[in-house]
Amino acid sequence: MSGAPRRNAASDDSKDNALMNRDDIYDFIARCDSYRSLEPLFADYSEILKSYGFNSFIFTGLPTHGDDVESYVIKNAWPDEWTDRYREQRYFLKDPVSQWSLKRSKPFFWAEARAASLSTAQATKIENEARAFGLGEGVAFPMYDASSWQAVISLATADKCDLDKNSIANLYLLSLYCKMTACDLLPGSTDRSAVLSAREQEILQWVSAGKSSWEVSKILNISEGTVTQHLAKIRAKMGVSNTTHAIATAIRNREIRP
Amino acid sequence: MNVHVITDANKTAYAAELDQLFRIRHRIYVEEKKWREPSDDGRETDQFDTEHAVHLVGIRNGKIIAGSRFIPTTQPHLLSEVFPHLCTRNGVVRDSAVFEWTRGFIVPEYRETGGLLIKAQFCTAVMEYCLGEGINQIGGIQELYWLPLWKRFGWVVHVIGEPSEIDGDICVPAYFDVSEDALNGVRRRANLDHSILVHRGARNSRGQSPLGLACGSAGA
Repeated sequence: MSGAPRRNAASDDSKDNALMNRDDIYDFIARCDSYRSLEPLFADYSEILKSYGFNSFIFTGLPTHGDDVESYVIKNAWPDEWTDRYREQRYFLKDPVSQWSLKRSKPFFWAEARAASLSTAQATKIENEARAFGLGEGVAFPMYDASSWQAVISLATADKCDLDKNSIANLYLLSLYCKMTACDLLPGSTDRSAVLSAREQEILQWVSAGKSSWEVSKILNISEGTVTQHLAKIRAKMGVSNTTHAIATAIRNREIRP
Repeated sequence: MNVHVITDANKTAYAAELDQLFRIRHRIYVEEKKWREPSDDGRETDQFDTEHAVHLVGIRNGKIIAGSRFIPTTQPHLLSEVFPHLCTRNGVVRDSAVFEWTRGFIVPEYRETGGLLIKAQFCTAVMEYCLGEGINQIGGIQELYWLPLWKRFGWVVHVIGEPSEIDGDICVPAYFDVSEDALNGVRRRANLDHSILVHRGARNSRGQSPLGLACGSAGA
């Protein structure tokens, strides 16, 4: 059986499939409330995507100011090898599909982003490499939401991606519920307005700008040990194991500037 | 901002505000969103602006800055008349305690600065109004990107049908539960410690609507 997205307009049985998949999505929405951690949520989401012909996805917050995307990623289901290559080559900043995610507020096909962008040798290279990893085409759902951080969920298929409008709408609803549920489950995403104290924010802001603990201690005129203690407390408060993760979370929660 | 309740029963006291409301709606729904054809009198009204419609309008310094319209689902409403095919779960809802929420807006001048706070304050007034009226659910066709906001308010959302692209935006029919929790959730976001809901003049009594409406609409 082909792995191609099966609910295209040309499909004879598109109506039956539409009905079946729609229930899939409602059932998923109903299950969302029951998840207490991210992994089962993403496993569930992933299974439904497969029924639409999408073999993997990435779910990420969106960096600003030419940052790399890595510290914003919530769930990366791409093949590991591709992820490594994408990071090493800093493809995020060069890939038309990623760059479109930063600008768009509505769903788009990867092909649209490629067609609308400058056709550079670099872009073609990225596309061909992605294709070799089974990520040739896809559709992206920017999660535009004026009141919270920006995110995108991008779905990949090895085959042609020509979903009709109804399928796009269904997948968007599905992906939106996945995103909303994940946001509730992420550390630091509860109703607390600010997790960090003003001092902690200040320290983390400097560290995010690339300053070492020693440098921060000189800037703020405190001891280096105090900086280290603050950072440990920040990580503990946020429930994360390293400072990079703390920075990403704090940016996402708008506690520090990107 | 205070949020005033305008119904058929007190509409004469709010004649100027209603005129202002329909002119703002023309600016937003005709000129900005281009949902409808321009109207000669510069006022946007449709077939659902009947004696059954309730308008909540947010007024600051004498000017309307936000608004919404509510229609009982027992009356013709947008989902029942225009988008019934999208209500694929259990069909079109028809319930005197379920109201459709449409024509929700914030005027452009307030969207950038403080838009979210105004939204939260307005929604607090909406929840308070609904609780007071014994309304159990409110909702209707809405753009998908609203859903995360409701969730942040702690509102329980029921998607009752299929998402579909309407005028370039993906929309879905959905209702929210009206409850004390929903009110408290949005009130926290709104930074409000007092009610901003204003009832002035005669009130529609929803429970005894034949009598109430007959009085309110005399001469209409």
